[in-house]
Amino acid sequence: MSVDLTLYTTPMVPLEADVITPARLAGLSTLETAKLTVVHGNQSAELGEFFRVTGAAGAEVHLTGDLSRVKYIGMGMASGRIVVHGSAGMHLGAGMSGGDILVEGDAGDWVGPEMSGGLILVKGNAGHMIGSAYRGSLVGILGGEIVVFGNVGNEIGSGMRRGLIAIGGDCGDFAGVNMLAGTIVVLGRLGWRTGAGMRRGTIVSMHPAELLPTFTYACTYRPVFLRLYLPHLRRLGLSIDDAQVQGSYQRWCGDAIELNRGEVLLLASGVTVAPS
Amino acid sequence: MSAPTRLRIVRGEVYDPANGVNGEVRDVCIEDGRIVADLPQGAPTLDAAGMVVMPGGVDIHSHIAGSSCNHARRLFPEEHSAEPTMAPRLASGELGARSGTGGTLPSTFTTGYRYAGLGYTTVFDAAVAPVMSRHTHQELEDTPIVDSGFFVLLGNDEYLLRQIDSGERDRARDYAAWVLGATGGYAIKIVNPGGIQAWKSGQRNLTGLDQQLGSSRVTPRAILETLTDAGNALRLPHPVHIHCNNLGVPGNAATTLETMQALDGRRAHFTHLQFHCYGGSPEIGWSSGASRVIEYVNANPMVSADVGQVMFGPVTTVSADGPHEYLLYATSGRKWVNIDVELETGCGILPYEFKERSAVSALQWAIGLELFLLSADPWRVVLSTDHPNGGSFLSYPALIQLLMDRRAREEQLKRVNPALLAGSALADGLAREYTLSEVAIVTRAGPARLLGLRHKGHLGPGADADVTVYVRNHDIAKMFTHPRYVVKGGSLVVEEGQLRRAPAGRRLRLRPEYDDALLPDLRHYFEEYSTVSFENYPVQGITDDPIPIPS
Amino acid sequence: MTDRKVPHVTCLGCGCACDDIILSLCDDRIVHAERACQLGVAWFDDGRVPARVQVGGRDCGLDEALDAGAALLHAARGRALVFLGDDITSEAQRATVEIADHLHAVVDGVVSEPAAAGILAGQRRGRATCTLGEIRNRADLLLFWGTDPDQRYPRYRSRYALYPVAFHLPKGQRGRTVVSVTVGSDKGPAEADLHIALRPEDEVVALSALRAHLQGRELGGLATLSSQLQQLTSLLTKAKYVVIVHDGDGGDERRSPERAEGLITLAQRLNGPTRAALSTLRAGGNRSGAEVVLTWQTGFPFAVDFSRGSPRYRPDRRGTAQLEAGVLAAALVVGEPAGFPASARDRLGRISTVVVGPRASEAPFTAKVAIDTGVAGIHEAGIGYRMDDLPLPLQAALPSPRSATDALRRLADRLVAAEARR
Repeated sequence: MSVDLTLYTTPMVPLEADVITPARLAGLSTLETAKLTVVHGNQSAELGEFFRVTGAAGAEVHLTGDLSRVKYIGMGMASGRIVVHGSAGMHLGAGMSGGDILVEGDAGDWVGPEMSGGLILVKGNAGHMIGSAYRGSLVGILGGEIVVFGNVGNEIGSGMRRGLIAIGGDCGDFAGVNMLAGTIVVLGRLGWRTGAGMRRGTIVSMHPAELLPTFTYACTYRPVFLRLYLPHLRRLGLSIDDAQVQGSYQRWCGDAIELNRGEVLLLASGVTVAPS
Repeated sequence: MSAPTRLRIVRGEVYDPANGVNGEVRDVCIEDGRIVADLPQGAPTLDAAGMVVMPGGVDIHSHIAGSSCNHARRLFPEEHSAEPTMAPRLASGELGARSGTGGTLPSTFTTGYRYAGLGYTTVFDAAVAPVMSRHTHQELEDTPIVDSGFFVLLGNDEYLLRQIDSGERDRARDYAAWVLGATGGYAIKIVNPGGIQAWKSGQRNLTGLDQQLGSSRVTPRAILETLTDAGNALRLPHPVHIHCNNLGVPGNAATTLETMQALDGRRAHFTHLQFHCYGGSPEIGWSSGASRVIEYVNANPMVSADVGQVMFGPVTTVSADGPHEYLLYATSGRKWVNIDVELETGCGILPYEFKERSAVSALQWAIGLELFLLSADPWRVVLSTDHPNGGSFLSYPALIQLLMDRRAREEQLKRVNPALLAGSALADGLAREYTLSEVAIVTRAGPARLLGLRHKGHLGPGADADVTVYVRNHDIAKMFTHPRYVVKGGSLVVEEGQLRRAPAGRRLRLRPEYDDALLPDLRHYFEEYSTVSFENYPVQGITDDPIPIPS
Repeated sequence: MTDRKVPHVTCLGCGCACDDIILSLCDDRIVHAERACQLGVAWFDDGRVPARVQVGGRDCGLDEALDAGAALLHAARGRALVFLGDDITSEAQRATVEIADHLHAVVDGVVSEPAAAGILAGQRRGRATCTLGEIRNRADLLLFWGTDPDQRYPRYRSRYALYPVAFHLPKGQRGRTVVSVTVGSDKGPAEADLHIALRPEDEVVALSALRAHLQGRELGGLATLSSQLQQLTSLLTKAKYVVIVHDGDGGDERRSPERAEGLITLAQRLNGPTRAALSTLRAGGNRSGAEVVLTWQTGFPFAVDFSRGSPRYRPDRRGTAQLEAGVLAAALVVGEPAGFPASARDRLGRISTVVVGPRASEAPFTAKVAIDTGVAGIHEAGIGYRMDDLPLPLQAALPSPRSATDALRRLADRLVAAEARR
């Protein structure tokens, strides 16, 4: 039981479709759904001008087509499920507090900003500022999980306070900048300046990385909590091998210019990188 | 319907305490922007049956325009993004309404519309650095509807301190008069006398009234005496507006009392008094010093104050008191702006939040209410929240409810953290409830009288036609939040609760006389040390003429 | 040959906004700008500006041009760019933002990328700063970080920072210590008492190391730097008033937000052991005025988008970017047209563009309507803002071909009237 929206006119200009959430579409007929107002560029328009609406409204919303220019999908949703058969635009699931979003293609910048709960799964790549704080505010996501199977851009999890961000591929620079707490797991390579300004929180990577001088090597150990987190991510579909679950990690603590109670864990995988 | 030059407001319950009118049903007649005794029959009428009619509100202490406010606006894009405001739909023929953003410090057009929407028609910005006054004038021009003015910061500027150090008190008086005229200000504002200069020169702060500033003979006492005497000698309509030393420090009630006693027998106004009425000490912690201070205020008719009430919620602290703002930064680690300004003063900005579950916030909230409820003279202890430091001006209706409705007070008292309230008068149950007449005094008539504005805050003939009409409502906060009609200078700006017109407000300023024997020495000081030429310092081209000072 | 002198003129050649210039005029031409530096002399030039009003390249009256401009802009309501250029008074800037508000337009300006990074970092962390008068009279240690003001702010050192005998520095320059930290190829001030050369990739790291030093935390790596940095830290903490000077409008490679944040928090943290301020050098042309005006009218200092009827903050998708993406149908360029980013100029030619400002008719792009006006501070009086946001009077030393403020206000009135008719 789900409502299906199939894109038949590709918007040339960004289409702000914050109405596409299970709660907003619940109980609406296909005609009413088509009448919902969206903003195309600077003009307001109707959802029906871009999507063919079929099926009956239920807790699930299925979107088909190249939605890379459709922004604010699932904004503020609290329950239900959205599946995007294709790629999604910016501000996906902004401020969501529950429910889950699955994107089979790629996602744009700003995935899940100001999120406090729920789950976002992106099978492809995603852009910059994943789970990050909007401009000017020092507090990022308050909870929830964001899992991107592919690569992501810069400043993911900036100002993060709580929650989990997991990246299957590589991630750009300034991952976890000004992070307050929470967990970021990057199976691929970390970029530059990871954890700059972090106060608490954990950033995990399965590869060696060059960290800021304000991070100091603490020890090499086998973190117990990863034996819970990594299998959970494996169930969500990320490819995680046992060496990572059981492996020992170098613990670097920082950022010394802030509270110095954050940590970056780098899989030592038997190769002891001599800390200088 | 163009704005009627004549209007008769009929059948309303009029509260005009300055003229001894307390709830009588009578007409209020308006012609050509002024209140008149009567009007010929056929004049257009406004039916205010079952409604309360008061003069337009007067806010004696707010931070709405100028360099420090603008730096605060710039600091919080997240607040502005969360509260965009569309341009109001004005009456047909009224063009050019502007959009804006809200937050603790709204953009200027939104500020003007919101103050008028509450029924306030006169607002004063309480702290402007003299060299930045041009900026304040431009912002006030973009703050529609309300008449406005500002107080000029003195008491930490190098030239004045140099005159006090060398005992040149007459020259200090002439300098103060020159600055008021050059900047287009309305009154003298002293913030943490000497303390800001100490903060800039590495002495960090001054805590005692007789503590010397560096190696000079200047002390806070000398600054206070010099400027208070200067203000009174120049017969300024509003006495010096004083923000005492030791802002927000436990035990600062002693400093406040000592400051009041130092100025005994002189007209003086103490601003956001609540922040200066803390008992206890940094070592043993906080307690309420409200009763001791209000006792002194009640007994001394030359002393006046605005309360600076704390209302729970997020605020932005914007103050010239740089050392205090640094203290908040050092303890909270939140984003902080500090600007040391041109040999004159400074400014500190920091986000803060008063929480019901915080014992200190609850005490500050209680102290403010104690000052209101223990005050013997509403004409001398008037309403303010030091917007946006203690709370937004939008919280005035909720504050009025706390003053008028004991039950509302007690409900909130149950929710707040009681840890520090033991033994405070409020906790022992202050039964007093303000009447509508007393509210009209502390929000209009009192501030207008303290500011020496003879045409404001009352509805007698000759007064400015600033009138606000509220619909009686058991929910007092709702009553004062949505006035049914607001008339500003004879123009019906709010009708049926909707903003319909947005005329420009006037600038209220002074140009006191001074002995220009001062000028050669002042010009030399400018050439030696200032980065602004002496000739470029005075503000030019202010449209409204200065208000004459009665001799 | 009417010769006369105009004293106390404010120059907008750079952010210093020196207000002690004496102009010598002869037959409405500037023949000498006393006390002006070479940038100022070039900015004043001889004061002659074109005075044409053109629609479609054809000279015409002002009213005709304003009608045509209003019609073009109104037709693109909700899909227009309003660009705040250089050399216009803050009064003209206020009228321009009013037009953008009524037009539901996107506002952009000459805010460079490093300046934008500085603004965003300032919105995350705040700023410990001071006005130029405090530097002149109080700063006994000047740390020039990656900049030598001589090239682009010639009188900064003589008027504000280094040479003046001052209230709290009676010994003038001898009472001041100068430290120069150079990054990569650029050179610092010649008379520095301490030189530290950094590789560009070490810059942010050095800033973090300095802050860690201040908090007494030891550092892994960077052993070589820490000895120099320790020497710098002790100099900083022993000074009475430290001013860190950096170029807010420097080259584009300076735009990493981390660098801006590092400088800001270093200056803030230094206020523990001593007193410190970060002085940001900004270009002239009253650019600080555009930020100040936008902030009080909309709440945001730049990159404001009115398209939804109220101001929204779009630093990631600024007006010129939307123009290049072909989303906009009209543009109003106010101020010096030469300041419009070169990469987007051809796009202006393909949409209906209106230019109002000095040398509008000599714009490096084709405009449907061009209205030449005077230059703020030469032909037009008003208020301009210095690099430290201090307001200064601008003088009209020469007669103006036409007032920009007046033309923009009349354009705004036409747009409001057109909207009311709709």
